[in-house]
Amino acid sequence: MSDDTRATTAEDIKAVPVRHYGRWAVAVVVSVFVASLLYSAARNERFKWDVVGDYLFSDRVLNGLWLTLWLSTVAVVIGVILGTALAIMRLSSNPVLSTISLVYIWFFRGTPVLVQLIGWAFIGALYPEISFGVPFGGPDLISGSGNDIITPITAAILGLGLNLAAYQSEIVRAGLLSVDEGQVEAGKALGLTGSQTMRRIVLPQAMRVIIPPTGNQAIDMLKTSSLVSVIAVSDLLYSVQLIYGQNYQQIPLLVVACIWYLFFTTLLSIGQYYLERHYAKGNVRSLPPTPLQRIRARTAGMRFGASGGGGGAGA
Amino acid sequence: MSSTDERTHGTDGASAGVPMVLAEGVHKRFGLNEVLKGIDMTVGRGEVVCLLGPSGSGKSTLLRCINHLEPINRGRITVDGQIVGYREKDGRLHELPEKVAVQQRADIGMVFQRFNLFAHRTALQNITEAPILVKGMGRKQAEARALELLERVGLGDRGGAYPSQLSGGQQQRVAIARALAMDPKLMLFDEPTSALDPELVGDVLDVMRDLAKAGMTMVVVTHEIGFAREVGDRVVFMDEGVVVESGPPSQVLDAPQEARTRTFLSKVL
Repeated sequence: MSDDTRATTAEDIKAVPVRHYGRWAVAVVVSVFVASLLYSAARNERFKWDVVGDYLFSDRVLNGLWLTLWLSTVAVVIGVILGTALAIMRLSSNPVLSTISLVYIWFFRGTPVLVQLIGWAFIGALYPEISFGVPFGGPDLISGSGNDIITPITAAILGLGLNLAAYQSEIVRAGLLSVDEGQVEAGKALGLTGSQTMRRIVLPQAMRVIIPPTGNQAIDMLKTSSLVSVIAVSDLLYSVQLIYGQNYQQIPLLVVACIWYLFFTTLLSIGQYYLERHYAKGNVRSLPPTPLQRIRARTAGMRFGASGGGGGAGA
Repeated sequence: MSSTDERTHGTDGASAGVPMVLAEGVHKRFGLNEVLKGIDMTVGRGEVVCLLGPSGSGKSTLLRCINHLEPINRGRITVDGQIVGYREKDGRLHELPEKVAVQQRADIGMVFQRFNLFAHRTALQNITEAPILVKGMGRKQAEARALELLERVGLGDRGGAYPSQLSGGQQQRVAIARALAMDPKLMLFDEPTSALDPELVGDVLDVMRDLAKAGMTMVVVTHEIGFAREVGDRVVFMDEGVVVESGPPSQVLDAPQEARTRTFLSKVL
């Protein structure tokens, strides 16, 4: 092989890549292990894959899945918007705003989310009548019984969203602090107001730092939302619990739930990857190729395919 | 075309006779550390004043006080006859509300040592940002103007580049174009060439030289003695928070009166 690669300085370098024998060895060991694991799971009748197949697309499961998806989405939207607001308040020079934010975070981060969910669900027990109006005896604008206003779904949205906001605000705050102070000064010097500088200059640059942990939170929320089963909201997990409560097929139904959770967390991870690329603009001289671009490049240059394949299998 | 062309050295303006910058007895403290200890300085219209002095002498702080990036503790600074950052009413100073303070800054261009270009915006977007947001200029018009300014600083073909794709010297020239896009009546330069590789300094100084020729009023904190001598109408030498001496470059740089100036110059020349 080395005979025909007589290097001349006039041509581009086509070096023989270093052979990663270790990677190949590990890849083979891991592949065998995974294959045997899959084989044993597939052959084990106690998994009852036929039951998994029966219920994967059943109406009750899909209804639960749908509720999980929109509940998590709403909670994440509330969390991100409120969290961003809390972070900006926390960093504000206005002492009233920063104190409000501090106390909010202290409370919602300091108590378990499960307790918060139950608290919202049973708020009717604490406040049988809820009314919004002029305080200290003024007229009421909206009023009703606590149980009518705070339904289990509302309780779930409030419990998950408000709790996420507390964590999200710390993520956003870290992102805002990561932006060089010179950027703020340049904005000020050009005559931008504080809020213009925040919205147009600081926040977009903070996104690069904010997005990875936010993606993490979104993925986490998809699964944390299963806590709402304790307040009888029929999300994905609660739906399969109801089904296996009737037919005692716990394992296959939990597998059904896990398949759906895995499927959507995978989708979210892919979305996060492209979102990160979008906000990397201007920070990386040239963006790394997307997996699709990488596959195309690899099939175009098959001669170097061997070494790339080893890396892929080991990863 | 641009405002710098319309506004030549003219003493025929509406506020003729009022100096562009007037600093009287300016004190600035950071905690217990007094950085400016009573600065008096005047910058006339169309004048180029170079601030020289050892590091820690307060030159940059003075510059940042002129556009109220740093509020001062005593004394007063006026730009074009207006008190910077405050309004005088019944013999008391009132802080300006943000909307008004922002208008004042919009008229004063500033160029930083570390460029501070917006990293997530292209060169062109860096320049159009403030005219669109602050002056409410249309995007098309702002972009045309930005291209014109990029052309002027010799970067007509780099409008689409992000700051990270530009050399230091190119970034600094974009930063100057960005400041000029607001049609400032005064330009502040805070050691604009100190962070540049030696071979890139010349391009930036060329742009500043052209700007001075076009009649822009400039206050330049610099260590470039050659530039101060050639372009500066006046040199102000500062040390330990006070103005040690000031006058035309030929006087301050070639025949300094004060021992501290002589010591400093002997080190940098």
